[in-house]
Amino acid sequence: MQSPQQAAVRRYLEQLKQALRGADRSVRTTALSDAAEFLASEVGALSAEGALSEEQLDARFAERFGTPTEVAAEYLDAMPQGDEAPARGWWSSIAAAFLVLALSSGVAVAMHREYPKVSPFTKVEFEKQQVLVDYEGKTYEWLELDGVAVDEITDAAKKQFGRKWQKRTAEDLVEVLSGMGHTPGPTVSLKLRDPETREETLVTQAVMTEENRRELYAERNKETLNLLRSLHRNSDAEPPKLSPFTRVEFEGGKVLVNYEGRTYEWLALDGFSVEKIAASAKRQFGERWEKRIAEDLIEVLWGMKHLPGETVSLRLRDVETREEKSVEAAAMTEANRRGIWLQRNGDKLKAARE
Amino acid sequence: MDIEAAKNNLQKQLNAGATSLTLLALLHERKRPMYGYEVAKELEVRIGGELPMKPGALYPVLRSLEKQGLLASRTEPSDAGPPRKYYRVTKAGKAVLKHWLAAWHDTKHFVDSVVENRHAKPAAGRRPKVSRTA
Repeated sequence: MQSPQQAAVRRYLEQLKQALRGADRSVRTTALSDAAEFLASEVGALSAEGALSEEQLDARFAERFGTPTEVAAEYLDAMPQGDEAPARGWWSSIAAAFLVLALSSGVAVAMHREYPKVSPFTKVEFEKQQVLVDYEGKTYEWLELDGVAVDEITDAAKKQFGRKWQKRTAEDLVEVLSGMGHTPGPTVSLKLRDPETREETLVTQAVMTEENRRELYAERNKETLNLLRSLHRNSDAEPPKLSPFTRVEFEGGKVLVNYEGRTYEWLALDGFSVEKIAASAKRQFGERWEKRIAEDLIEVLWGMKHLPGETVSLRLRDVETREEKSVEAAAMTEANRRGIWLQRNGDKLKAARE
Repeated sequence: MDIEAAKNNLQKQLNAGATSLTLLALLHERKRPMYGYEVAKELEVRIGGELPMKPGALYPVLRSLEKQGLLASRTEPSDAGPPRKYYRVTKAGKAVLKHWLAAWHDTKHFVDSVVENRHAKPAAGRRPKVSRTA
């Protein structure tokens, strides 16, 4: 659910995009990016002025920044057509989106350190003196982790990260704990308290997963992610047709893929389980979900609010030996995806030629 | 005769150079990098009201100055939303600013002398560079 301010920003960006129709992509991207920066600051300033209606927000943005038509004219004057760098390819846009996201969320530094991005929780919120967490679908007050009181953890985060302590405690728990000299294992013990019954629960082996952390990250950063997606939607580009696999088949609830010449059961991509990817594809594309996962993987992942990079991490299980395998950086290529398409549509293509 | 169009046309021509000069001078004076919104706010405070141009017109000028090598920028995260582009004046920008300020004073003197009928003497050692045609 987007806020009225967020909706007004989107409307403005959409109108600016329309006003810049026909301009070089670099001019459009620059103008949209500058407008997004200004309007985000303006939204921050507006928070002190109470609620404004949609119309008032639209008028305020036009009054403060200039109407989309005026702004478009300024950019076209200042940045003549054909005078800019060539349009960026889609991958560099996505890479830029990653950089932007990393910078905007303050995790750029953390990205260079090898702390696993895992969490036992799917949501973390700070309320007065309490830290509320979602664990296995239920909200609790978080009391301890591996015997360390939450107060000690948050104090350490404040010392390490200053005003970003809440963000880092929630999103970079392993880093915070490591900074305290307590590097957690794949599971941790948790002491939790039900906020209603006040009953305490001790979980001895809570699993730290990437999937949990991704969920809480997406929830905490949804506004930034929305803006980014808005900017990228405004870039007029289509999701690229790429895949890490050369073959994708659906068999008895499993997804079998061919990766580097071997057949595997596909278990996860960038920390998302295949079950989750399939469930999202079903929601997005209905009956055509299998086709879209196989042939339009990027689009499916975008629908999950995930921007994949030029490479993705994979978890696979060898269908013969049953051994699990992790691939850190599987290249997403057009050639792979073309192979999948030909394999899946070869018969139709042949029939059409005949 | 479209008076409004003629008025806007002059304003646009005046803004074109004045904005570049103002932005370069402000960033040089502040001696620290500033982002677009901050620049617009600072200018509003300085003139005590609305700017003659919308902030939407300042941003492309910042980009243009950067492209000319007069400003450099770095992007930093922001709690408010997207990252911010912080601009600072380069060495070339400082050098160019001196020339621009001299040109501005000359032009201002010329305009004042004619339009305001002040007949002020040119600053010592500097003559207006605007030549009169017969």
